[in-house]
Amino acid sequence: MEVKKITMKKVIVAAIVLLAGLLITLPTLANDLSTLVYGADSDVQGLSPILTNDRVSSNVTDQIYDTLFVRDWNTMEIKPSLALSYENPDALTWIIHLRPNVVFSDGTPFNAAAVKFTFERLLDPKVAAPRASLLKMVDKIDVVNDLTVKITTKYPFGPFPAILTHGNSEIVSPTAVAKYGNLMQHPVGTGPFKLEEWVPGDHITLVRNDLYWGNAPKLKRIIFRIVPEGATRVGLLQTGEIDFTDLIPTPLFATLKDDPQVTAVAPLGTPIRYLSFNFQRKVFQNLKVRQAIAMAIDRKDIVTALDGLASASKSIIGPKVFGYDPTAEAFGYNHDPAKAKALLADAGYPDGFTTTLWYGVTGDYPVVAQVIQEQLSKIGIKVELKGLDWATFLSATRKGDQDMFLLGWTNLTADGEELLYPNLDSDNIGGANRAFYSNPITDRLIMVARKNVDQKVRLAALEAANAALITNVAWVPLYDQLNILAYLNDVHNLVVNPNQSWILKDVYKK
Amino acid sequence: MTKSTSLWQLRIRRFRKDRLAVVSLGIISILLISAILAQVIAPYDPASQRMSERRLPPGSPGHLLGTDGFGRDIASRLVYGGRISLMVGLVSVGVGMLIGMTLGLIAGYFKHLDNLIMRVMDILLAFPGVLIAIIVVAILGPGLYNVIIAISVFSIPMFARLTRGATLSAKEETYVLAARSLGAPTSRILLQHILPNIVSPIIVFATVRIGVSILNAAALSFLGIGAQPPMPEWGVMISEGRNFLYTSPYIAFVPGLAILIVVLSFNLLGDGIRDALDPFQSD
Amino acid sequence: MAAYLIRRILILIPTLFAVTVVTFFALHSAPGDPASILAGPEASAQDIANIRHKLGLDQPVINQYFRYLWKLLHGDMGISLTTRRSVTSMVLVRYPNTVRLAFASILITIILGVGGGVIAAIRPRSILDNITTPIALVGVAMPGFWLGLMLMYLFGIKLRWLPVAGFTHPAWSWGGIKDIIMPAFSLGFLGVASVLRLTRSSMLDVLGKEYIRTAWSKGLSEWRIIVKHAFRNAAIPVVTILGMRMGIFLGGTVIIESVFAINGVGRMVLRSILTRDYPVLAASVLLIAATFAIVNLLVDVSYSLIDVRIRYD
Repeated sequence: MEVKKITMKKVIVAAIVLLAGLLITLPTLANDLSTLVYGADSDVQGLSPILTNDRVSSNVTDQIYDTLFVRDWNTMEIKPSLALSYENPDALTWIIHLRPNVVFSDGTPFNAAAVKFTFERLLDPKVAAPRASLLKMVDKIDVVNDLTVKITTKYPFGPFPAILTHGNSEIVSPTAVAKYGNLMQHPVGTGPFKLEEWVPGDHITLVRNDLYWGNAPKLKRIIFRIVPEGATRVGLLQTGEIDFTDLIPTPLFATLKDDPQVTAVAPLGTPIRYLSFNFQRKVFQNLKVRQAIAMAIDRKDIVTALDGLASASKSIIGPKVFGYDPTAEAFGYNHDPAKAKALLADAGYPDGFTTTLWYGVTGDYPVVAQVIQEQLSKIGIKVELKGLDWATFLSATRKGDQDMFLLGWTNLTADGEELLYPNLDSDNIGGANRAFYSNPITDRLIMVARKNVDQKVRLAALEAANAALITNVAWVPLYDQLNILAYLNDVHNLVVNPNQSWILKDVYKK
Repeated sequence: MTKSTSLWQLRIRRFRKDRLAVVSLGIISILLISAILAQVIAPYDPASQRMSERRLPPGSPGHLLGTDGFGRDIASRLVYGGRISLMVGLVSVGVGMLIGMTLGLIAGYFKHLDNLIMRVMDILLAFPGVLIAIIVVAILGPGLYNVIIAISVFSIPMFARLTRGATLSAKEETYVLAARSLGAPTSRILLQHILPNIVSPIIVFATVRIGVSILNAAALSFLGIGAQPPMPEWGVMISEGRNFLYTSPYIAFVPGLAILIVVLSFNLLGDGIRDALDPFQSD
Repeated sequence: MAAYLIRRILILIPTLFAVTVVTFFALHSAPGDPASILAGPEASAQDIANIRHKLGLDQPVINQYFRYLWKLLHGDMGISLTTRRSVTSMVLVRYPNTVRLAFASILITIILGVGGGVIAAIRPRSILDNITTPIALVGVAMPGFWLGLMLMYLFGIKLRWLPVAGFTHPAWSWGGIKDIIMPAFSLGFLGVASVLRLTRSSMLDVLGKEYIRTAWSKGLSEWRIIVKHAFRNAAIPVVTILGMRMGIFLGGTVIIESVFAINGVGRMVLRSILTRDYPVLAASVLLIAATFAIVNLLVDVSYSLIDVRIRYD
């Protein structure tokens, strides 16, 4: 009998049909005009402004909660938000008048008691808020009446209104805290949006808060879709699967610039990237060594390595921060390898020395570290790179394991005090002062900038401190970051603030 | 077949007939030579940056395979990276094999230790391999040497299991029983009688493991927890090239292709050795 | 059989216990702690101390471990140190994605490996036979993450046929299938060669046997012979290999999930290591190890179903 054979033809035809079937339909695009999809680089830690202190979490909480004041980034002035105004009758007292008729998204009223509750909770050591130190100057908080709160500080504190624009001072609903214990998964604020759904690691959906006190947001929904890889987020944006994203690797910016369907911008921001030293190490206590290193750095090459998406800077306090003075750049050190070598020889290291450079393996740091390694090798300093995960980096550098390190600072309040005090004041050695830098002169100037309410005096003190720190090479400032933002052309009114934050309530799609 | 043909000559002759295996051996030899002579062969210092010559495409004058985001010569980095991959493969498999084989011999020969050793190996085998490596690197921190340790650790149980099985059956062979009855010391029985008779499957396995180790080392680097830049490790090069995928895809493509060729060579070489050693075992 | 199963399951317990010990102490001995991540670079020393105290990180590691174990024995996998969310809820979201990826990869391996092997065996020395093996060999030697990137570049970015990343559609929808093609292929292609070779040789072996020849002479259709007789007998070695593959695939999900931005257990492993989130790491590794063990058990059991000659006593 004849045996039926499978012909080769049949197999091939079947394979082709299957393959074609798989490939014909293009990815469906989520093109709902009332929904905005953001490609986030990480999941949030939680949705409580009190218990979180990472950028991704605050991107979400900023849409859910409001601060008492906001910074107008065009005029740099402090403007009302949940508070209408403040008085400063004496150096220690701040009387804040609150906006009437505001309710939280759970329907409970916003009032002086809520402000008191929020700030006391932030300060409570049992709550262990990561940014409790933000309000450490606060002595007591009194409810004067339903819409007036009086805050007394332990010492005169100049930048007080500025810290009330900081995301960690967003006001939470006391009723919700009592109900849920904490707001990590149950955020309740006064902001334009509220939580609809959170699938950990996948996405967060916010929906319009109909009880919002301001103009109703134009968007109905915002989806924060978590996509850790920058290159992947760019792909999603180009295929229209997300509407906007930020924090993409610099090489990809050109790709987006060339895409006619995408708008890509990169305005100057407050984040500064710098190289610094462990001042406990003898070699770095020598000013000549630090000057030599500062002169060995060619910021032009760093900017090139970052595809031009950085603004070279020699000033510690950057142009978008209170306390910046354009003349400060002149105190900085220019690229001069010959002079750097001479200084190094002068300092007793004619053949250079061997050292380590520590950095977190995230963002631009690995790129910058490699350029610095190469540049320092040209004056004889052999640098071993220590690229560490973020957790190890943060705790190792706080303990002082590093020789040199690379880090950045995003100034959220845009006040130079918030930059200099944590990072370079001797009060914070063991905390954020990873350089272990202690200088009585600059400590004094920083104190004047802190404990003074006269903004003119403060400005002068910050300028002087900045100049002294630059001259003394406490840090080698490298560049001010450009805040990359890319969105589809049908998204309007989307603006990235210098501190990398963005507000979505006025955004719409057309 | 003439009488003078020894077993080894026969094996070598069989190996030489396997064209793929010979070509693979050739590729591996080239890699070995270029690794030793990297300084001579590589046209540039793999670390030296030229910001004016960033991201030149392959075939640019002076840069056969182009340059990366720092203007470093990809061909030179590839040559130096070959040295690293080869070292990772050889050292981690060598260490894994040495420890695993010792444990396997002990477990197979001494009954009372068998259970203890193999239960520990079972626990290690309960983790998927890459996961062990990731956990080891998490403790030790990133870096090439820690990657080598991590990959050695996850090779151990497989070598132990293979050796133990072979030892168990070799133990019952007449020549071993004879040696034992003559009162030969245990160490001599293990090293002179058992080991030589079980070594061929282990060598075959080790050759293939080298490829797997190279792949895993590259994967760890790619995840950012392995070798760190500026080391021209191939996985690091792919990882760094990822951001250039849209504009200069060759930066990630070239090192991946290199891994592919080298791992393929080790796999084919392993097949060739197995066929030469034991033509009836092959599938 | 039942006794064998019970023995196998009993062995699982100390193994999984060891897994918790290893992961918990391993991560604790790594430098850095979750408090420093939670607090961020700007935190003061006091802020960090408060967080450490609140999370119980200032207590001896051994106490932390026993407290964790005690809860685990009561079915509570703990609270994430970074998100303060219950670990169980975090795992439950991600586990299906990982399982989906691992099984889709196995499916790719089966389709290409077994299919290719069968075709190669029934038409030995044909063009198909001659091209399948080299392709499969290349597949073994390729770094999966690199293959993933190249596929993403070609089909996602250049041709735009498949979504660039993520599982955004329900698993059993057309979109869901398209979501998984590239990730599953990047992972599954690795396993094709060994399955293909084994299928081919055991099929060749079986096809030459007496009873197959008898079947031919009875005039049964080719499909019937292959599926009913030959393939059934060639399946055992193939199932073994697939069981071994499963371990590699589960490990491989860690890498492929981060290439394709898939919200799975593998990516959670990496993230929990980076944030030093001890209970989350322990839970995710435990889950992967348990899955691996159960799959191996199923493989062993399936031998006896496929081939009645094997018995476990």
